[in-house]
Amino acid sequence: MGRLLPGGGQPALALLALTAMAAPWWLGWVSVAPNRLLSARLVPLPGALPVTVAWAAFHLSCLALLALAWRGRVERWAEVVAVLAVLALAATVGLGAAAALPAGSPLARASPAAGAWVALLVLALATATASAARGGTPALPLAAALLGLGAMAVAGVFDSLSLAREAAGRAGELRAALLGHAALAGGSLALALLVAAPLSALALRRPALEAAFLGLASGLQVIPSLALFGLLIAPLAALAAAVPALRSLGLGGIGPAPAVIGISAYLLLPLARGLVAGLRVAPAEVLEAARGQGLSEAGILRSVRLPLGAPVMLAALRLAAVQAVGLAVLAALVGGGGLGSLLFQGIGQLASDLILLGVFPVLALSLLADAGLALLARLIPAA
Amino acid sequence: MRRRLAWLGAEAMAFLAALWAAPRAGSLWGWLFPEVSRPAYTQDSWFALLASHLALSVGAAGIAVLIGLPAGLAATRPGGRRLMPVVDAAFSLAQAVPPVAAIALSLPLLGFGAAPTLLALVLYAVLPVLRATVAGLESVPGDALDAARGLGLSPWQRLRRVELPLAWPVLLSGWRVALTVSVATTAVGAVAGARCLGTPIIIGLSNANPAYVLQGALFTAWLALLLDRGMGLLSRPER
Repeated sequence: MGRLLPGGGQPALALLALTAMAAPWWLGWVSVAPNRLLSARLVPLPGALPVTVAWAAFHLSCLALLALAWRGRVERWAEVVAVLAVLALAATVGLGAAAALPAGSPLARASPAAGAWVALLVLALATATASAARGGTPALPLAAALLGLGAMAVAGVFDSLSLAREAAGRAGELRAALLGHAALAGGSLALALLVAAPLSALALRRPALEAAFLGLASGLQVIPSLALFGLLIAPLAALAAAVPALRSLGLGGIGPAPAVIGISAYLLLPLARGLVAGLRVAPAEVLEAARGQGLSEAGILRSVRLPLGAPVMLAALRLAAVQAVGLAVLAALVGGGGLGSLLFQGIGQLASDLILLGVFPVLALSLLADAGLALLARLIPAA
Repeated sequence: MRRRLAWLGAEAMAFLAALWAAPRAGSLWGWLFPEVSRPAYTQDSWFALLASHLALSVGAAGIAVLIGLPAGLAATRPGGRRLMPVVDAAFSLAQAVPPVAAIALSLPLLGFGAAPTLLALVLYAVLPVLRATVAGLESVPGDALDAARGLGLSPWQRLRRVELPLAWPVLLSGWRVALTVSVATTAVGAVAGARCLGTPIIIGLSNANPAYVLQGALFTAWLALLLDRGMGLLSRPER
């Protein structure tokens, strides 16, 4: 394969572009079920003009991606084209579903067919591959694709899909779960920072403390999260029973407390590693010069070590934030709420729409956290 | 080394003894949780749960090694380097989707039981294996490779006698991560109907029985720590 390509071509990316384009042809674009209980059937794409335009845009973007990959021109353009392909695919499916639903049967439900899902997944992989080939982060283009999809959703492109109907029917629940999830992730990140930051600053001076702290944090990583949450329930319940004042603060065996404490325990390792490494970035001669100017150790920490180490620390924060969003899914199992509550409800009812309603916002939250912190790191001038 | 192995063996025996004792220790659990009417988990044999947990997680980690090792080897050969961006991309996408979401998404396709869990397990275990294979092989110093070439070793001999032995510690660390991820993901798989040490946790959570939760959590965590230490012994035989 490598021989066939001109030098520097991206065979994997070309293959992904071809797969994305072929999958809907093979496995279908849209499927329609007469109602919620009957099984769905593939339907041909309707020939309405907006559908055809979106359909053509999808194929053109895939072909453009193929051409760029073939020529090895994997600059920003490949990512832009891949994101355009995602949006065009979504528009094809959304508009196609609207046109394919039989008029006057409010119970009929349309959803993307397997081919559309495969194409979406492959295009996400292609976008990330294009970013990786350039040496960049896939979070930014993927977050851009998400924002585009969000704008299309607000414009009503997806209103005929059963997933959108499910979301509209559960709008209140979805909002509460989203806010709860953000609070769980943010709260655990804050708690972990509160523990890791002072300990990292102390570890700078005491290697023994650093070894003990990092050892404990990496030992914790081995414990499965479900088990850690479960282990925390009984002691927290006993604590809340012994000190009723804590219960009024929301601390108890069942609820967000075991999840937040458990998640923050897992965040200690990435945070501590990044913070300690960040504090060590400042070269010895710079530190020497600062000491020569009569700066105190605290002053050096504030005006030399922190600014110089900021990029490393932000990278650690980014990793920890993404992990926090993912780990918070399990909080629902111990009564902590969040998007996991939709996901596990969907598992219990074997309802794909409900599962997707839980998974998509998790994906969006983690990509937005990733992209947001990546942008923030860019704003800070590299020292 | 031998002493650490003996310690690990003794701890494994203690683990098995605790599994045997758990359903017989109703009075202990009853003393810890006086409000629970049936505090000892007796629905399944703990040994059966352990066996299926091990079969799923170690099996998935094994499959992951079988996929990830050759893929990593291919990606580090001259023709395969252009495949690396896809590997990195898959890795960063997997970061954004927690394993439990992968289990949930494959559930409507594969149905309740061990299948969705096994799929998610293999997906999430392949990535660390692949990453470690690539990182390990790329960490082999160029001098060593040049020397091997100078000795007239064929590519296959270079791989077997020079590259793999030098990359071995990094390779094993990747397998260790894969096993940790597998053990944890298997426990979550209990939600989707996979029988494992996580099952008592899930049953306990849905029936408000904290005694079941504690027993399942204790044994799941203990198993994870035991397996991790076992892998740790493998990767540092000289100490």
